[in-house]
Amino acid sequence: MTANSAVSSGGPPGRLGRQRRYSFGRLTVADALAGFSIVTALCGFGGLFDDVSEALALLFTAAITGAIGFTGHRVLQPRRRTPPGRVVSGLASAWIALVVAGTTVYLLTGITSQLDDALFESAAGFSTTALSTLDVDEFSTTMHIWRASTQWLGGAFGILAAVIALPGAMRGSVHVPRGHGRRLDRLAPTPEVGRRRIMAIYSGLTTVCGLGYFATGLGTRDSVVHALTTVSTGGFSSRADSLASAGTGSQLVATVFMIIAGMSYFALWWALRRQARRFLESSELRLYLSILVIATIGLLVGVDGISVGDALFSVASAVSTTGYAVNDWTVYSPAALSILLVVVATGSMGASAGGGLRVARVRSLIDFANRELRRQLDPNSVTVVMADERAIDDRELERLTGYQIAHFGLAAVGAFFLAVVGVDLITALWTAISVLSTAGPAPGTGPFGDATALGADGRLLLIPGMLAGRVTILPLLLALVSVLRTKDRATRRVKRMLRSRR
Amino acid sequence: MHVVVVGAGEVGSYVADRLSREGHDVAIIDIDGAKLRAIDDALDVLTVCGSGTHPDVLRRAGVEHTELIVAVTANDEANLISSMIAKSIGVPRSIVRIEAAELRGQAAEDIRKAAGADLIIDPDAETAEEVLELLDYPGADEVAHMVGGEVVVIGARLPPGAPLVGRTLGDIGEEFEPDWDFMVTAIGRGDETVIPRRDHRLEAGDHVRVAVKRSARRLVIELLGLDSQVPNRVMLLGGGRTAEMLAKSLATRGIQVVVVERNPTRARELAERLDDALVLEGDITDADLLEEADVGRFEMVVATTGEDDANILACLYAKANGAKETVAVVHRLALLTLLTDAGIDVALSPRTATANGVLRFVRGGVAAVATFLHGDVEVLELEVAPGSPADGELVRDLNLPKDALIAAAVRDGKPRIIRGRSHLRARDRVVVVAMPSAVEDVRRAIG
Amino acid sequence: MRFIRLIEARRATELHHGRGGVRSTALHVMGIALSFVAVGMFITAVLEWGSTNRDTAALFWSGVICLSLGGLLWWATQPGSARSRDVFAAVGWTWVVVTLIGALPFIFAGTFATNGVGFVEQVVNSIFESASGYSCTGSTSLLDFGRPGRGLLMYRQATQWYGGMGIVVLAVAVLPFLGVGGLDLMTAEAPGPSSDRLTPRVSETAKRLWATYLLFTVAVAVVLTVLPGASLYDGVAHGLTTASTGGFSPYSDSIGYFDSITIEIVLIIGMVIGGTNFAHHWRALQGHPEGYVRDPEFRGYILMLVLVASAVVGLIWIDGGFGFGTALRAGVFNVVSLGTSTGFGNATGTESAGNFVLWVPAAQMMILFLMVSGACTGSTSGGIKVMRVQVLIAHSIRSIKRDQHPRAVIPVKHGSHAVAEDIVSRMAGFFLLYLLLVLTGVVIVTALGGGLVESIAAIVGSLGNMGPALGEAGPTASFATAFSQPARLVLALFMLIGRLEIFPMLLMFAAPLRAIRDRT
Repeated sequence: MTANSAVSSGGPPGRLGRQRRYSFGRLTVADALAGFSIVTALCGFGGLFDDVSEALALLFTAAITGAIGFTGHRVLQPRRRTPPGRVVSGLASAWIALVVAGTTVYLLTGITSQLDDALFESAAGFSTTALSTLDVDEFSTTMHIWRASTQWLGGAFGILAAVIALPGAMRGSVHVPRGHGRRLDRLAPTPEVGRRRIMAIYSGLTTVCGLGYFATGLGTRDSVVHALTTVSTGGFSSRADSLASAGTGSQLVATVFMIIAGMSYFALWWALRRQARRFLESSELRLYLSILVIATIGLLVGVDGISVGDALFSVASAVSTTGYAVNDWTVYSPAALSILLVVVATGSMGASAGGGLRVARVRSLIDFANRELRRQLDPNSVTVVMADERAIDDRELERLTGYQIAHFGLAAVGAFFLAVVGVDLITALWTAISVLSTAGPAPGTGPFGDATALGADGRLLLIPGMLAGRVTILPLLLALVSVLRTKDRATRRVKRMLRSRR
Repeated sequence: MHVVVVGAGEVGSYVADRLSREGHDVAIIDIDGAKLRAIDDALDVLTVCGSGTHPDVLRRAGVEHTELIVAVTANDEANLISSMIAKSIGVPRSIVRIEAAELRGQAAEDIRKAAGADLIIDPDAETAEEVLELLDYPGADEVAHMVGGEVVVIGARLPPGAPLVGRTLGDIGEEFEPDWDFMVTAIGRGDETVIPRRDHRLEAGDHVRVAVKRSARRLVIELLGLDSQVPNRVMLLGGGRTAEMLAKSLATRGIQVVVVERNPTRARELAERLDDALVLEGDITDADLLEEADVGRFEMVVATTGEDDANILACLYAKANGAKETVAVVHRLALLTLLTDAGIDVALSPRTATANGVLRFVRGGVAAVATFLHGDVEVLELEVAPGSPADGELVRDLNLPKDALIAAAVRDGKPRIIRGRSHLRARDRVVVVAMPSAVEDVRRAIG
Repeated sequence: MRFIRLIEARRATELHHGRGGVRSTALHVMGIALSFVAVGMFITAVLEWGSTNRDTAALFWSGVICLSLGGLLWWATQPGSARSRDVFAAVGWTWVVVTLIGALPFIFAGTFATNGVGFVEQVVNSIFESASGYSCTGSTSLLDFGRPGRGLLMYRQATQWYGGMGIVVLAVAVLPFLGVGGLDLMTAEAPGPSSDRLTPRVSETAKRLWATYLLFTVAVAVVLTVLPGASLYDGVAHGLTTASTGGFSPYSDSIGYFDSITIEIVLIIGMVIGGTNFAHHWRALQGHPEGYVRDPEFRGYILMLVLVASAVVGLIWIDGGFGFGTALRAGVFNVVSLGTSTGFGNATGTESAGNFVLWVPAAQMMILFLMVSGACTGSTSGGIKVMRVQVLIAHSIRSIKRDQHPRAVIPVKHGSHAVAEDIVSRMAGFFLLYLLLVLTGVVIVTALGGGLVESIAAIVGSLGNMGPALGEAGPTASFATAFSQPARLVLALFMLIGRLEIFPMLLMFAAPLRAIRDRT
């Protein structure tokens, strides 16, 4: 019947507007691939002085992804208002595109010939999870840096998704402060400006972190690699024993930058804008720091003979969901382990490169539970849950609770399936939670995140978990829900068939 | 025949107009004087101001010598009481509009009997029914099932590429000799609707009404250049009763339904009642909402709110975003011709649906009547009475008026398209297309 | 509504004029609850006297103390207000006091006075045992089942029976003047998010629930007794803990002692019935059994048991090296036992198939999930209840859909009817509190020296009133060896919190605190 309107005198209205509206998803994929291509090309050019065949593989992949990415970026334009479901699916496809591109590199460079290993390594990289199956001692410098770069990209992806893409689509995400104040005071007055500022802070932090490592004697290669994976809360290391054999100075640098990497970019922006008061008054930041302090004290009490530095390092690594280790924390006392598990599940602040439930959400959830307690006491009482002097409306709270319950449900499902493939109880629970938080190591994988302990099936199971950890749990849950819906759809189809028969 | 219509709303005034133009004496009752004055100016009917539930008001309308009362106010209880009073005064037949499902159900049968309601009508349900019928003929803007569905009259605007465009009816007829499966029965061009002759040439943009045997409907859909894809996704704008009924039946057909409703309480109610539909809360003219809901993805968008402008705007927006077919329910018909020009595919009015029911009842022996929003043409189903002029006669010898046409006849359950050389026999059920003024002549010839 | 309540409360006060001056719902309910407990002590004392006659004095004197204290409280007080906080205080404190007083027979009898156990630890063990009993949990710190006499063991069974339908519900049943606040009292105690009135009068409802419960207990006891292998004593003992889905058994091997498949089948049926909403049982007895099928929660519950049981049987059959028959028997019995939060074990030894600690990780994970979910609302089971699980799943699916369609209106549905938003919100709050409690509990218990697996399972199991945990605290082990004394006290507290579904125990301090604040 569309043709009908063509007949009429006025012509079809709105034709002009239509041609410019392209899918958000394709654009995000293009952007992600463009970023990937730049980083890979840089590594490739650098690699020409190191290992030529690897460099060529990198450059080849960079050329292909670049062609796709930049063409897409030129041709496509975002639509005015994207349905939130499409934002999420767009982010998910962009992430998957990155993983596929990364897998190609691992296979082309011959680092591994196993498809599943390459896939796992790539997914762990782009989700900033510190789990690996490969032997890092066999890597060339180029590949060390490229592998760390995947985490760096993954970290940037996480922040940009949290600050730019998702809040625009979903009104009132808890961990994103409302935009108020002067234009300069806001991190992202427009998406373009926000993206630029975030990338500036992110790159700046990386540089400073790298210099810090270099100054404390970590060596050029390791400094670069660790700077890339610290600021992104990734946790890949160029050393088989992570930072255990590094000097105390480097460990301290790592601790400080892990803590910073777990902070909200809004908080960092305020700090840079010299709004110290606002920075310090952020309730989420305070809670984040209190968690750090309390958990560290907990470890000091709970583990015999641990040094303050090591305890703080372990907690910082957990709370920022990085996954570095300086000692074998898997042999800590059960009390210390349970504290670490709670900390990993909580994760970093919202709008940071880290993962997890996020401090702000946990806070809101505790407030919510508290409100329900009060309501029991005084059924007519009106209690409002606040977040930074802003009341969270009921609808948002409801979304928040539903979402978090789903988060736990997903962790439970993941743990169950890991147990099915034979992982022991604690490791299964821990890995499921840890991967959803994009941290990585669990007791069963050893302190340095050796994923071979999980078995090939277990690792494949974790890849969707990594997607959930990085892009939000939505895409995965949507997939689950649609599986549940297939029954409905099947019955519908049968009904339709019966109808058409008649 | 003398008819009393209670309620000068949209349905009431339309029924009054239709009946008075067919030569019946009509009195119309309403409590709103202003409305009545407007009707006084436009129609040739008696207007009585007052409540239809008061016996003296009914008397003033001449209820004692009335043969039919049509109680169609928006209030179910008032309608039932009007009918009850009229029956007690001695009116033989009554038509009552009832909307509440509770009063329409089995449990309320006694009440309806006590009120003497001979025919229950529900404009919302009729509208929903019409939309559902359209669903089977995507692209058509009118569908009328005659003789138990054996013959279907499809109304549609001819798109430029349709196979029938640019040909005369004679040509078309020759191509499909000897046995016709369909017949073009009326052509609307601009504001004018005519019963066509052999030399009439079809043009793109013409609105045609085609009577077709049920078995040949696919062929006709093809010839009219219509889309044959039944929609998978339907968006209902406005969550009133019509939308609720529609959503229910659509869901049972396995169609994905999204309902948009502005009132939060009503939205929640709908969401609780409709299991398979997604209910969105928001204004239907809110472009952000429509965009978020991806309105362009829907094959059919139906706007059923009580506000014409909102319905029209929302449909236009949906169309511009790529929705395949848009259906707007409109109440003021002055804008009607503009709508299709602007790109809205189908305009429906609750009153035509209701009026069809009333007219069918008024005509007595007629099994089905269809009137349409565009143009005056009526489609009637009649039975050839034994001994009538048509019994055993060739159709061309019947001397039917120019403004009438016998399109099809069903004998022993078998439909056929009627030609000048066809014979009619008693007990044949015929489908007649006619202007209202010619209806009486046709009835005389057949019944 | 509130006004009517106040008026009613005042009228109730006037009715009982002349008795006692202190007006306190908490103390009054406590008094009558203690009196009931005393009756149990006396009956078991008589049994003890007639059989082993070892702990007769302990039971008798405990009964005397209990009765005098209860009678005094009952006589000296009258019911006060029925405001939420007073109701929570009444229920919470009643349970704490009953648990403490209920520990007396164990202390007097020296049940835990095995070699080298100091008095403090004896008291801790006794309180743990009593808490585990009244909360229907079924964990035990008893190592030597030969030590206590048959009467004392029967008292131990009876504590669970009291706890199953609830002593406060019993109080409401006999105290018609509690009518107005009664529903709140019952709701505060009854498992599940709501309790519905079966009759217009609350005390009548409470009576019917107890009558159904009694009838069911007798039925299980009779069936067990007529079966070969179990005596009248065994029948009654297990009838008491099956109907209450408690899980205590007078034998250290639990049901493994009988090693009888018929007894296990009877108990499976009994446990499934015990895990079902008693309101349905009552209606079924009235000739309306269709309530079961219509209830989406019951359908979900049965589906859950069937699915988990078949998965577990499959898993242990494939991996465990047991024959299919053994796997079937061990799997189904333990899944039902844990799914209904009973906690009976049918392991005949540490190496047998019934010792689920030895099962594959996936099967153990399912057990952990069962411990969280529990059975039906209005049953005698623990956990967060199938209905809450269903509603919360619907709630989170709704949140996900909302993210796709921000303006969609999606009611949370349970079966075909929509759940009111404030109830959904309360359930979400409940679940989050539950989770917070689990996390806090695990940190505390591990800090007090528990292993990680043991602590997680024990905390989840205690909150869910399950009984045996995993790891070193499995069905064939004792909590006395797996956890330190303070850890056991924490677990005992968690059992009570779990039995009363969090709110009363967390809020029972509110009323006294406010009273103090108002006075100053």
